[in-house]
Amino acid sequence: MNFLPRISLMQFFVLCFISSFGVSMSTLPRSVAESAKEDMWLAVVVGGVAFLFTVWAITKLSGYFPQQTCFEYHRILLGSVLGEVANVLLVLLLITVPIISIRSFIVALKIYLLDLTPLSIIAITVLSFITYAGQYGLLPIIRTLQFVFMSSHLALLLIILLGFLAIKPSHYFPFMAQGFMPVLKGAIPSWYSYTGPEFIISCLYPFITRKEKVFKSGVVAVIVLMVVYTLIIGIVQGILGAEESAHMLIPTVIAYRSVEIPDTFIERLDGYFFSLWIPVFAVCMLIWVYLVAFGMKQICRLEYSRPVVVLLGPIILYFINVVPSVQIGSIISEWTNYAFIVWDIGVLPLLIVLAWWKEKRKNIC
Amino acid sequence: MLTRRPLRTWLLFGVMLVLNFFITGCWDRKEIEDRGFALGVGIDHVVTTQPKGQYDLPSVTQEFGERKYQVTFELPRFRKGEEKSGGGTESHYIFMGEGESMFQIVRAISAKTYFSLFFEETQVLIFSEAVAKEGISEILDYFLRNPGMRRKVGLFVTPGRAEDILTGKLKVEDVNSIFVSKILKNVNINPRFASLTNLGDIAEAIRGKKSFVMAEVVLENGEIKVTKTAIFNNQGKMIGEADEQEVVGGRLIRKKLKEGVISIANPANPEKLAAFEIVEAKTSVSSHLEGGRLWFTLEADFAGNLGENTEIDQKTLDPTFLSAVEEQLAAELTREVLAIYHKEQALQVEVFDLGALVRRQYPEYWKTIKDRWEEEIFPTVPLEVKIKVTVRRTGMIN
Repeated sequence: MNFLPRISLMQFFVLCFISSFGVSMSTLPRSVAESAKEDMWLAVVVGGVAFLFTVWAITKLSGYFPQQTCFEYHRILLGSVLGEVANVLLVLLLITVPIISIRSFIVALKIYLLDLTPLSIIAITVLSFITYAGQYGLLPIIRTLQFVFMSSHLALLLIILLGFLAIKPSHYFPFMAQGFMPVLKGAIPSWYSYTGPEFIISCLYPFITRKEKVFKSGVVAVIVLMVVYTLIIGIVQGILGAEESAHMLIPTVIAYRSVEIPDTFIERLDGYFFSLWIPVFAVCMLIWVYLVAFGMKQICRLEYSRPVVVLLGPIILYFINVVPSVQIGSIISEWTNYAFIVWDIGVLPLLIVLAWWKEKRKNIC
Repeated sequence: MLTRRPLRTWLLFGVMLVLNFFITGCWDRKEIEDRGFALGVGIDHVVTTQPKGQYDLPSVTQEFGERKYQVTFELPRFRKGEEKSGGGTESHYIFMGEGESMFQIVRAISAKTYFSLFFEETQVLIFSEAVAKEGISEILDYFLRNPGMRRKVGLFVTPGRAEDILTGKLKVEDVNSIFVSKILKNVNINPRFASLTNLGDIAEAIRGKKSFVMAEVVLENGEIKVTKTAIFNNQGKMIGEADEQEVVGGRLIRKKLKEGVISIANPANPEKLAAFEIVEAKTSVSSHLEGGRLWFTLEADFAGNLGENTEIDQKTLDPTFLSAVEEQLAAELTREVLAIYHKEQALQVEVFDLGALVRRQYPEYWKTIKDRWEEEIFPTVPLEVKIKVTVRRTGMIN
């Protein structure tokens, strides 16, 4: 029996948080430090505040079509041809996230944890989990997310906070010495870190039980993300300094490798960091792959997303291996970030205007 | 004929059977005895480039580069439970390689052992003074790129050869590198003890084109001592050293003097001594800019105990005596601060992070002087020192 899943507000919050919190926290300090220097933590806050506009925009847009997903209302707003083009572009945009993220993650894992394991084996393992967990629909996914959120995300947050033990206060100064422009420049790369909730809302809005609270819950999720990202960036800045963070390939991991708590059972944080990061990352990718499968299901008008999820595994694996180096991966990641910004602050407002105009015409008629 | 349900069960059983072959061990499994824990790394210049022995084993074949550095690796010797060690050479293995590329030297060791060198547990990286004077920035590049290396590794300079620190026999039963790193736990107890500078700190200084200091370590008669401080310029080259009293001054300016014992001539009888133990320390350093004139002020407030007084007839609770002790201690600490400050002004290096202080307090002014800071500006900037010492207790006797 095919029944519609119902998503509670708490589950929606968990979905929003987990969809954003994956691999970008490991490289974000580098991207923001390059532009914002000592104000890197502030750039992340500014990026988060700006992202709230996107949450408002997508909630507003979805509010016009409470029983339809974005793939359906794109066709209504843009026409069947243009709407389908937008859907395909959106699916392509969504699929770049697991490709880039899994690639970056497995490289980090190989460098610091599994140095003898071939990259493809790590990728296959991650994708196997995603394929298995993702093929039975949204409800098992949400249950998995809730379990991992309680067991791994909260524990990882504790490990992240222990980073405070190694910070140097002098790394935070001077404050705003270069003015506000570098902070704004730093906010651009931080956008990618927040990406996630807008697609959760646009794809899953019809399934959320209390639609009137979606905006509030989305804002809470983004604010919590903002706090967590600011903590991470602030701690990495405090440990490495802005100059060093800008030169590191994976600054968060390097910073946490520098934290030692001698004569305690913890001793070093990096082992705990990695062991918790693996489930945190895996469930983040699970959502993204599900969203891609969900989009493809809607485009192809399939009844179930299961065959699409199974098909996506080898496709993602192929493209992960196409990326030749970390540098090329970073460039692709940068361009994907720009594409998300264009979608969030370019396409979404345009769609709102169209929806508002259609609504107005309908009322006049 | 198999029905649909049993077929799936058999398939599942088959998959689980096959999985047994793949999940019985970790792909990255490596036994502890197969890991070459390089606990200490010593870097010297090669003494002679003549072949050493018939096969010249220390030599590392490189496509490019000279036979420039001799790199010594100290590895722990794992013993069975019942075996006892006499310490020194019985506690460790030593491997050496000679070349210019650190990477190739490290890999060349693999041709001499059944394990590969592992840097996750490295405790110390020691440079000979000759190598330090030539510059360490290029050497550190490999260690900073190596994902196994931790940024907490302690860096040291030794006046002699670094290999001697790692290969010398100690009186205590320990691996030399571990012993050196353990000494650093006492860094707060002894103010004449150079503060630890680790790989992360040095990398940050080199990247920021800033001068830095590194503790010196010596080994003599089976004893290791961490002493003095090697001073490096912003090119990563050692250009001088601070003696143990100057180290106290340097630590005071960097707000790292928290504990320790200071001795002075007894105010009542200059032939006798009085020793003061610092228990509490509050230090603040500020920069001031007025009319284009820059200067620094250092204000410190120390409180502690009179721990020793060799003028035994002296009534130590006498307020006149105590205030004289306090004044003399303040004067001595001021002298030590100014000694290192003036030395660094003469060397045109600034390792106290005073430039960073100016940058934080006057960022616009900093932009105009940052390129001339060490060579032109810092040597002319005065430092005003105000130190207050309070003797709280005089021990168990009057």
